[in-house]
Order: sequence, then structure tokens, then C-alpha cells
Amino acid sequence: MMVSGNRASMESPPVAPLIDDDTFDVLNAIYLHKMATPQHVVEVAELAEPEVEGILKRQQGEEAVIDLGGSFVLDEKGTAKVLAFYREVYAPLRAQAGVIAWYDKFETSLNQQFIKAVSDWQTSAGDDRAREKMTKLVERMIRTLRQLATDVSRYEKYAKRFERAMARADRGDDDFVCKPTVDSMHNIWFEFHEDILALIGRPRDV
Amino acid sequence: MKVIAQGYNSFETKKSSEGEVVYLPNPQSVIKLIQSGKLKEHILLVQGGTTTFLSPALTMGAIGVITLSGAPESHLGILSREFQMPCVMTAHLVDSDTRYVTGGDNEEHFGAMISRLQGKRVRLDCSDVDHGKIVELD
Repeated sequence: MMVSGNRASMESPPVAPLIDDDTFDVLNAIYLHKMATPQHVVEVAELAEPEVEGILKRQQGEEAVIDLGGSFVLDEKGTAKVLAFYREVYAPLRAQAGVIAWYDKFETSLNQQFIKAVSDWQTSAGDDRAREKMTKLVERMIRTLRQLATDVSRYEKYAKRFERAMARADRGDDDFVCKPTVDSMHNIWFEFHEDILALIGRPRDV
Repeated sequence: MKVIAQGYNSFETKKSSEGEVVYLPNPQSVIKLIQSGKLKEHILLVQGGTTTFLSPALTMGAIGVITLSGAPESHLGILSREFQMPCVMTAHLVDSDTRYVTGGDNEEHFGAMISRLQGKRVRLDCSDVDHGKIVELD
């Protein structure tokens, strides 16, 4: 089943999410990153800055987001809105064996390998071979993400972000390998992991 | 001063963090601590090595973390190395035989750990390659 944008196609049962697609994209950007600047939201949601600022202001008024000195976090109401949207819009996908099988393979294979590669890169003081291993895994991730993007079209954004981070890292900017405060390969991977867990409705194994 | 607990060391560092231990069970407790302006006076105690809701505290300059489960390859291990913030993982009390059991019922163990550490002034000693120590300050 194809999901166009954030919403399920006309073949799906009617859904009535509490928030619209743009509001979801803004709140979800914060949900995935855990604390985000408006600039980060603009980049990952691919929305105009005034639009993001307007949504943030409205959601702040509804006590869904909290401004912590220029960076935003979700309050309980904001998290509830995001998760309700995932539940309603992605209910058809949660019932698809193919998506669940995709996730299971990602979790047990690709994700395990990537986390090990990140740790190896960190503890080897930036060894080139460790970084190459990470890059190869991200390239595999982009290919497999694009398979999933036939069902969830917004996942194409992750593929583009991975390509940008890899390009920066290839030019020697090591911040784009793993630094949490820029849109690094590890940061994008983490956000996608949070996204797919919310999409299929599974808690993260802590 | 005495070592009261120890666990896996996320990374070897001579940096030594001191502060009052505060247990953070949910995102709201993290936000409240940040808003209090006293984040950097505390060592943050969380249950899981993949406690993602701790990220805002790390970004805002947390000085040290203790986890009750998880390995240095866990999410918080990776972040602690990036932020160069001492982090002791899967900590256990040195005067107790109870340990975290993967997949087991750890409620009693967690409760005992939180009860022993909450509110104590401690120093994280992460100078060893493998093991991090939690030293109670007088």
C-alpha cells in the first residue's frame, strides 16, 4: 500500500488525525531529535521558516511544545499528538507483513552493524577504515530506505539527508560522522530509528 | 570518600564530574531539571542505556550520567563519548550481590540502586579503561 506524503491513500480506511500534516512534520521533527532548533525543523521538515515559526508559536500556546532558550522540546500534549498521528495514519502499514519484516531485518542486522561501526569509529580516534565501514552501511541504508519510501514517501527525506552528511564527511568534516549537534550520519540514523519504531508502534528496547 | 558503585566505563577520561545524583524517570523530569537552572550541579541517573529522552540534558551541558542497564555501545554510551561526558553504565552497588539481568525482572534491583544513589553527592571516576566508579563524597 502506498502512503502519499504522510497520509494513507484513498484505499485506506478514513483517518482523522488531530493535527494536520505540516503540524505533524514540525512536532515530529522535535519528537525524533528530542530537542530541536527552529532551523533544524526547517531543514528536516522541508518547510519555510515563517511557517515553522507560526506552528511552533501555536503549539506553544496549546502547551504542546516548550521553548528552552531557543530550542524546543515536546511537552506531554505534544508527544501525545505525534503518537496519535502515527497511530491513525500508519495503521494500514502496521498491518502489513512486508513493513514489519523490513523493520525486523533493519533492527537485527543493519542497525546492529551500524552501532558497532559508530563505536569503533569513536574509540579508534577517527580511524579511516571504521569511517569507511560506516559509510558503506549508510549507502546500504539509503538503498533499502528507498524501497520503504514506496510505502512512506517522506522517508525519501532521510535518504537525501544521509547523502548530504556523507558528502560533508567525505570532504573531511568529521562532525558529520557522529556529532549529535549537526545533521550527522549517526544523528540521521538515530532519528530514523525513532521514526520507524513510532510508525510500527513498537517501544524502543532500552 | 568511598566507592559505592561501579559499572562499565563508556570511555576512559581523566575528567572527573561531581554532583548530587538525581533520578530522571521520564521526559518531564528532564525538562524540569533543565528549567531549574541546576542541571550542571547534578549527576543524572537513568534506567536504560538507550534513554533517548535524556538528549536535551546532554545538549544543554550535563556533567555526568549513571545508567542501570546498557553497554558502552548503547545510545547513551555513543552520546557520552561525543559530548566527552563521563558515563558509568549498568552500575551496581559494590556491597551488594544483585546485578542487572538482561531480559529479567530488575525492578527490585533498580529500586535498591535508585534508593542508594538518589540525593547523594558523588564523583564519577572514569579513569579506567573498562570500569567506571561512583565515589560517595563526604
